[in-house]
Amino acid sequence: MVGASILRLVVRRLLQAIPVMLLIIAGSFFALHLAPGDMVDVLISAGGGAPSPEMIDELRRYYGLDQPIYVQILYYFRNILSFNLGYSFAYDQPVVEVLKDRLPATMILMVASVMLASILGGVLGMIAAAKRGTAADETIRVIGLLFYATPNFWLSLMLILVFGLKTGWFPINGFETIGSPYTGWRRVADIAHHMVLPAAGLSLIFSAIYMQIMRASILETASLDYALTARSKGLSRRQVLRRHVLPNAILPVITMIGLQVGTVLGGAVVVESVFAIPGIGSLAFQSVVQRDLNMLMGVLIVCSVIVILANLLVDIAYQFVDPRIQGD
Amino acid sequence: MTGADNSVLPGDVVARKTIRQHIPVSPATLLGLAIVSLVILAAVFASWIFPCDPLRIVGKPLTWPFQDWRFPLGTDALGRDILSGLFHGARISLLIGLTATLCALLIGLTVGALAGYFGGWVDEILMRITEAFQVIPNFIIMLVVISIIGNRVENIMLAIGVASWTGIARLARVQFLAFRGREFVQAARTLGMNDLRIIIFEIAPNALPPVIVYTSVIMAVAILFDAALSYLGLGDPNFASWGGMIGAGQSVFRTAWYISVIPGIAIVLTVLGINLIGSGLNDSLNPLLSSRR
Repeated sequence: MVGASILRLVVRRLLQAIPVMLLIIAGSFFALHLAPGDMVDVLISAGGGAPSPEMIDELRRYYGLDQPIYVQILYYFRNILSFNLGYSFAYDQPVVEVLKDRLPATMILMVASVMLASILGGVLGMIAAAKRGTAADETIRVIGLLFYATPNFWLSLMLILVFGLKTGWFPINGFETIGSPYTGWRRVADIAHHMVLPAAGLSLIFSAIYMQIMRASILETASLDYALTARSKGLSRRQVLRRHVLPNAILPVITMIGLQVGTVLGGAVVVESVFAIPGIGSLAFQSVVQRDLNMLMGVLIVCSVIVILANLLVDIAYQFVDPRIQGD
Repeated sequence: MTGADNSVLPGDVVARKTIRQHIPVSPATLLGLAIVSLVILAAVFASWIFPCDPLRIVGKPLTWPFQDWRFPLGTDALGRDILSGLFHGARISLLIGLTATLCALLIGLTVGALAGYFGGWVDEILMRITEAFQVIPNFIIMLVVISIIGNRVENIMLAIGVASWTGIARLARVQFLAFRGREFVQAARTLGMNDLRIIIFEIAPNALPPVIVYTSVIMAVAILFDAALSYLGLGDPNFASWGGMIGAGQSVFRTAWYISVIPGIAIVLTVLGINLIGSGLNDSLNPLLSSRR
């Protein structure tokens, strides 16, 4: 029963995603088209030397750049849909290959950050709601406001200063120890050790947001009739909170996590650059510096797919938490 | 597919008189106003107090704060005055924060108003476009815009605006949808008013208050975006900026960390101030929402 409705949900969401994804691909085509210089110009400047005008024309014909724009866009759609994201002259490799190398680091950073943010935000929000109006509540609120105003790159630098340079507790750059002497669980531990500071730097702003939503949501749910009924049945406050209030109060937080996957990925561009993590975020930044627009569009398309899939996961999680919700 | 349709709660119809009469201004809002006023003063009087170009080398490099009275906050690795940089940086931060917000408002209100007012296929197309912009991470949108049109100040403003309008569009759409069937709109239509005038003069004044509250969020985020771009070295190199100062300090971070720490504090305080004002505005304009606290 639940399985069938989840399958329906997945199919419906994927169908809804198709027009959006097509729009994004069309958008990236026009972005490439608007940018100064076409692929052949990039090719020539990367190759050095001065090819003859005939050869330039030949190259333009070869890449279909002499075709009218509606033919070019069809070529572009065909390429993207067959996972051909073009060639990166800065890396001298197909864009897809570079993205494949860089994706794992970003996924790990992203998952770690989202988990850290939701656990920290959830717990702080719960404490604040339980101790509403006390000094503890106020303190948590102020901390939240400060986190919410702190740029992630600066926070990352502060973490590097305190927990990296001064105390030496955590490594301050890279994804794992260079040369990677470790295998198996030792390697996992090594990577986790490297991810602590970046995940903290990326996630604190989000934990502030989740905290605020969690607090408001618990207070609202706890004031509803059914929670009062449970309380008047003689259950303790703790029992009511755990069994009756939390399962409902957590829904808005889950919604927010889904809405912010894109923002987390955007933050990863900056944080990965601070910590020199070889992910797709730092790749996006480098491709702007190297004027490698093919690569930047590749990152854009991969990020969009990640955001769409993450939202699908959130919708599925939603169904498990609250089976009444059928999606819209 | 990006979750709930209204990520920001649309405010209920606002009773305007509540603004001054019932809600006292909280100390937190006053603090926010004080901070933001100071930043504005710094921006306005920057060239009067520090007539010298903040990017010029004026003293011994790597002077720590409180060592030399000529440079109260010290100098950076090249010997540029940090305090002067802070004052001039306030200018560019506020300028970009303000103009990028206006740009986001312009795009968002236009899209949201058209979608909500006309409905039907106009709504369908505009909302799919909005969704596409929401799916692409906002920072990546900015990188794309900058790599196409370059990194002069006005281009950065545009890039941040293009990356920040979707929330406004959704909020405005919900508002216009709620108002378009109301009697006063029908009356205006019966009087023969055209759609453009109805949108601008009849609905917009009623639909705007929740959008105005939301602009403070956009502005705070715009300042953070601008700081991140200039930190990465993608800002306009011709102006001193807080993010740029933090980035410049990174090469000597191990020994002279104050160079990167000080401008960061300025960013945190400014964004905090704007957020405090925003939540104060929210309390005044949406009394129903804030009573839940």
